[in-house]
Amino acid sequence: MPDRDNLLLIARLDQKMHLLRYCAGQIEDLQTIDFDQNTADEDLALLVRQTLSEASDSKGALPTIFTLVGDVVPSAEAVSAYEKAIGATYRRAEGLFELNELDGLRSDQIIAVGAAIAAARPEKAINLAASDHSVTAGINSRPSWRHWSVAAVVLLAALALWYASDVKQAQRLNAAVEEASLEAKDLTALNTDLQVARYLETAGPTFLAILDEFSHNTEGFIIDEMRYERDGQFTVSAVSRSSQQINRLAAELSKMRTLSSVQIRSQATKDRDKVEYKLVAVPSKQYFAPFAPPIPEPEVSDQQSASIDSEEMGGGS
Amino acid sequence: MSARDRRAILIGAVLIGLAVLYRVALTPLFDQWGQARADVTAQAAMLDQFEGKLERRSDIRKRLEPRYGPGVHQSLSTADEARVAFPRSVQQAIQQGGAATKQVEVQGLRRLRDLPGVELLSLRVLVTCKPDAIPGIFRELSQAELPTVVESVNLRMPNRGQRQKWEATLVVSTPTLAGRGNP
Repeated sequence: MPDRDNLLLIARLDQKMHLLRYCAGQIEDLQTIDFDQNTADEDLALLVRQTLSEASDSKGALPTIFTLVGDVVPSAEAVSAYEKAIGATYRRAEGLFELNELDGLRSDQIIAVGAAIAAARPEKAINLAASDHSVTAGINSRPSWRHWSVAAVVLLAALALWYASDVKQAQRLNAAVEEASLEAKDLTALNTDLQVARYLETAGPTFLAILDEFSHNTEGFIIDEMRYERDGQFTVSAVSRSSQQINRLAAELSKMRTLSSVQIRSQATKDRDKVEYKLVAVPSKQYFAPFAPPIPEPEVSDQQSASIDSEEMGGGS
Repeated sequence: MSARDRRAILIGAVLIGLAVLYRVALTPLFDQWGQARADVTAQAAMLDQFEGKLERRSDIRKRLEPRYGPGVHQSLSTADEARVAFPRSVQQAIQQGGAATKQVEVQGLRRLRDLPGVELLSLRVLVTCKPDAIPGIFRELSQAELPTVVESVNLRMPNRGQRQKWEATLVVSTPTLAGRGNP
């Protein structure tokens, strides 16, 4: 990099001009020129050229780039005159210090640079010569543009990754939604399906479940009429030979899990050996199976068995 | 103009440029991004909800199938569709159960208080059969094409002397979608 390899800093303050040559990563020399206040810029440029030529005989090539700092802002004519005299390109001082990585110099060189800059631009280098440690710390604690750039790039990369992650997730979800053909009306239809399913599930025992359990529990009884209302009552009407048999039927119905609140609504003697009766019950709200599971047969004594056999028999419903 | 002035102008210009960039390009981009994130959240929630409900519906339908047949796996039909399909389904089940259908009468639609989107289409069916065929009728009804709810049953012997001839009056219903094809 020519900027780094061959830099001339011309610091002008009052009637002194400090020339600081910075070559190949090293401070080459620091020279001071006294001049008259009324000296023209062209003459000053020639004076600089002459000083540099004398110094370059012993210390290497002339600078390829130079900058001007000082108590006077250099005019375009002055810059042009210096460029012509020195044969180097002018660069503004701003940014040049960082560009040349002055923080890589030795502490004595930094102090020399600091002295030159402090003479011309006190606000630029006020702390440079304070101490070796503080100089190094001061320079290192201030992030360079490169650091800011890296931080910005990292931040942008993180944001880009975040954005890409969201976009990818959105694409995945959109694909899933499209694949399932989901729309708001589908959700409504699904809700309706669920409501209907819950309604069917809690609709109590089916007539088939009651009939199934009834036929298992009342084998031997003949029924004339049977009424079932899902939200109402279950009614059995028949004619029996005795009230005892009716009571036994009521007791059997009471054991059923599909029925509850069994009671004999009416019984009336029709003939000498006929009793007309009506039993009512309520379909149980807690029984939801399609069929009633078989109930284990209770142990029946011989006497009870004989009594059942003597009752009126038939093909129960 | 001093270097400091130029620097201040430059920094100001950069800040103004950044503000314009933020207003013109970044704000819409962030809005779009925010909207996309909100959409993603909503879609994910809807998918989760949908999957959960699908699973619940599947579970309930599995439990309902033994009681109401394979018809529970289908979505509800409209009332017009059910007016055609339900009597056919019921008559077919009764016939397969070994009974004869004497009369089928469509009783109409009944709204359910807790299910605003659903109406029950009811049929009144008169059946004659032998007593041993009665369980078969209801078993076939529980496996009918459309889910069949037995609302009421009246089983009786028309003539006490003829114990092998029973008459059954059934009121059965099936759920339909409300407000579609109603008269």
